[in-house]
Amino acid sequence: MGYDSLALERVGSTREVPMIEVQFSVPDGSVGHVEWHVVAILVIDGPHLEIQGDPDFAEVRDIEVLDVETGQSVTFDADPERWARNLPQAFRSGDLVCEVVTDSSADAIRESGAIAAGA
Amino acid sequence: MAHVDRIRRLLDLQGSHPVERALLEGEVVAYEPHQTGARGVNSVFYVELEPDLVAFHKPHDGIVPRIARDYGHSLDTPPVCECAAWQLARQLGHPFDRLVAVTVYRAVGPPGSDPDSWLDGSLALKLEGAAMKGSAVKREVPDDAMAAGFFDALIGNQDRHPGQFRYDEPNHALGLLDHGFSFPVEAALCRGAYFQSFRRQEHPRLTEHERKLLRALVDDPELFGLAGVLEPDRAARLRWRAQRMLDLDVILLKGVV
Repeated sequence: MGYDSLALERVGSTREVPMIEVQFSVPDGSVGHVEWHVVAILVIDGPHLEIQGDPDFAEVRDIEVLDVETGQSVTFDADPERWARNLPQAFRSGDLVCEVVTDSSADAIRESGAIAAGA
Repeated sequence: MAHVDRIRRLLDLQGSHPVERALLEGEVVAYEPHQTGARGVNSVFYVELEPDLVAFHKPHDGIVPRIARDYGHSLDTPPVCECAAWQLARQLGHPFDRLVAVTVYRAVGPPGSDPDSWLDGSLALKLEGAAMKGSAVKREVPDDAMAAGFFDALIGNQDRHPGQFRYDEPNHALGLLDHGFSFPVEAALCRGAYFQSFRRQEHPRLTEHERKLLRALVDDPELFGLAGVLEPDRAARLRWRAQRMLDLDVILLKGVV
């Protein structure tokens, strides 16, 4: 597929739950059906960006993304969290899918909402 | 001219290239959405065609209106612009017809379902290689990277970032994809200009071959057939960018669309 293999061990992070985790997958149809393989994971923890898998994904940091809610352009340097949450819509080709798989802020908001609602 | 008429003109341009024909005529054997189904992201479908092609289908219906509007597009335009970029590359010839993903306009849907229910959109051939290889591209195939800068300046690519091209390292092959947000209207935003910026840095002047191509384009009232495919203001800006590059003899800056 042209990507370096994904390391199984997380390196460098001391947090049990990262702030935001973004996953990149590619499709493989060579096995009779489509399987999606993870080629890189970004862990955005405050101002820090950690890359697991293909180290060339460090280039992702240069991507300017659209904040869908405000219509503003956002860079990693300006606002790492907002950048990470909006990163998936910058990948529209279909052969490389980007997805936010963990967002501890959103989880915390959901949990507090559930408590407030008496759930 | 209505959208349906522009589509008709686009269909008329298609079919002279062998890979176009394969994409247009191949029987659909698999049609699957993104595994993720991430919200707020334009829908793209993985497609397998007989005899042995993999492609990606982007129907009009899968476009997120807010994202399209942000780039100055509507739900009508991205699939058409994606196909128009390939048609322009094909007519510009070497090296552009080798760099740009072959893309056609057609309806695609799940095999076995009623073809009348299939959705219209762009169908782009899967490119070999990996994303995020910009450093390798600039180091190993700088001439292709500079040609990509010329192409992006001409189509007014609004979002060429390191995830919007593929590099097949073993074969030293650069592939350009995802041209839905291109052929912008005047003053539309440009979020990424990866190769354009590289070209401006390394060799901003046009080559003789590029000047020749631009002259041929501006001298053609039909803009290589794209005048009837693109909305009039988008076609006018394509002509303007080509003429502007000729006048200045340089690749346009990022955002000059």
